[in-house]
Amino acid sequence: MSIFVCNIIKRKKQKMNQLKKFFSSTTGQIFLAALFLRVFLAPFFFHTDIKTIFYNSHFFSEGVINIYEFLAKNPDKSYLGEFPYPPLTYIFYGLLYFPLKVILGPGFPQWLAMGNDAVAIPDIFRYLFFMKIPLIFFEFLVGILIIKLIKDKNQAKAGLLFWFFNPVNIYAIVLMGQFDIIPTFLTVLALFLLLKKKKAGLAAIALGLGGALKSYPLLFLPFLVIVSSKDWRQRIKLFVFGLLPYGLFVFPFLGSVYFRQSSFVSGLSQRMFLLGLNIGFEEQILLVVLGLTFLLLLADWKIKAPENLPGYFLSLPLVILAGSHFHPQWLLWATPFLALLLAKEKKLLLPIAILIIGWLGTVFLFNDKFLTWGLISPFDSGVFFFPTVRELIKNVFEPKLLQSLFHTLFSASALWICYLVITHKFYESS
Amino acid sequence: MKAHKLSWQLSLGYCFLGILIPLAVSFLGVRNRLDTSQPVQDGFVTLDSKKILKQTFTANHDYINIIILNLKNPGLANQGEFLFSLDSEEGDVLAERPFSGYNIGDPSVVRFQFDPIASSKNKKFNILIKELVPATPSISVASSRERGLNYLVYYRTIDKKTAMIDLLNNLKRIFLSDLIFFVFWLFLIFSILLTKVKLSKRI
Repeated sequence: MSIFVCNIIKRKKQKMNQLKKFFSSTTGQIFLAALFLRVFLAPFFFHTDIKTIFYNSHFFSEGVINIYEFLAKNPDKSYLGEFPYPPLTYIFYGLLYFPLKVILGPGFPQWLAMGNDAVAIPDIFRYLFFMKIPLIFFEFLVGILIIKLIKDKNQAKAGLLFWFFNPVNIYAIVLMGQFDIIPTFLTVLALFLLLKKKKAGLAAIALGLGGALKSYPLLFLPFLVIVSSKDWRQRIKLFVFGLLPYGLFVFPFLGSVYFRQSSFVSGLSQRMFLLGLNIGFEEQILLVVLGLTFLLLLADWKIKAPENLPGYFLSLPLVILAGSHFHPQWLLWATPFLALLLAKEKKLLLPIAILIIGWLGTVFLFNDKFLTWGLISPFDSGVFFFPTVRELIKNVFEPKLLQSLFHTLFSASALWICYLVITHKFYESS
Repeated sequence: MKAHKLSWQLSLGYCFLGILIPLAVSFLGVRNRLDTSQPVQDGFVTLDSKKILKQTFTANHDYINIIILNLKNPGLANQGEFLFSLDSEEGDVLAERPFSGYNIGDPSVVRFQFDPIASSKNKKFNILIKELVPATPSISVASSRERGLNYLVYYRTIDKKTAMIDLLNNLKRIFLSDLIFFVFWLFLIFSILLTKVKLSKRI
């Protein structure tokens, strides 16, 4: 018995020493600084999306499986909006609700059921903190994958610095609490599995799982399939592998008209088809689809080895965002790949800086006060009486033009980055 | 610059902005601050033609000027006329605002603004909601079984000195509102800082 206890103590000491060693390293200190920032800011900033997704998913604990049908048939319970995400997101948040309810107490479900402006409640800070913890966990997992994807230690540190301290991550994860970080993690995991473990099948499954949470990682699948093999049978097999987890969660709901209405008609699928060139006779050339198809064909033509796949994983979300009215958190889809890129080539700091300035300007000029003043509402709910930034500046400058200018800056730098990553071999020595 | 030093500088810089921006916005921009509230909501009470909904509250500041109620009218089904009034404890009507079912969503935060009441501090007030033109189905008001109607009362800040005092009081209120959590949060913050101080010397 005493030997057993001694062994446990010894193992614990070893683990503690390993942790101490890690945090004594530069990489460990970057992780620590990132953790400090997140712990410090997470309780004080609020966005309605995190509350809405938990509110809708809490019905899972009441035995509701088809949330789409439930909300459509119970309009009195759908006042925070419909559930627009695939079923796995509902299950994930539904499962997360159980431990959170225990930690946060009976006031938590009551708060979830309140309106979007319910910020003047005493326990809101603990709710916000604990709701964001799982997202921060996934952000750190991406950090670990970034280190593993970059061979050179100094480059890995630079990549990590960008990953943890770029304004996009801080805004979308720490301030807003957007769950896009989870599918983002799965896309980086897919890259890691393919490049470092040479497991294309598992990589495809990771993308499929990401797609089951939020559809966009499915767009990465054809690229992964193309670079992984030249054999068409193998390619079809990989494609099926990728679609399998998505199909597994989506198939049982396909018969539900409510699911098709809520989830299939998502923001992404609607907005991707808006930018078009009119060619007459009510026909249009859809520019985002054109860009994505061009990328895919280019990948098929050019890529001889999977090493340049991160370039395509970066270009794909940038093309979508460059040509559509995006949600702020969509840029998270690209930030890990921007980190990998910036780690390799410091000269790209300028286009990336312009990209982020364009993104910030576009986001702040949305006519939605929850994206600006609303974020600090737990601190002072008096900010709800403020006009939006768009309304504030309208006497000085035409807000639509200013927002378009910012989006144009964003698009120009996005397309320039796409051009560079496709024509240069930044990623190949990673 | 070494990467670990830069990471801490960035981290502290963001934290500084995270404190400075809300403080500056609150001090320089916010005119109407939260006076008192009943945020707990576990259901809705319906308002029909026979009923007058009443809620009493005590103001903590002078110059109260906004009351927010959480009202519900699914699908704008009720198109009747209603009256909001704010009465003193003695029953004097201090403010009245008629409103329509058209102004109410599912649910929606409905704001009733009136001229600031100069000496409202420590005085009791009654919020009354009644139906003027009956219509069906009834609208409902968010409420708690134990604490009554869900409401928020705001007051107008009159000068910067008061704004500064109110800002400090607000900070105190935030930290005292959930002391257990903030002790835990401070423990985490100091643990991370302590680890940084202890271990960064080895680099």
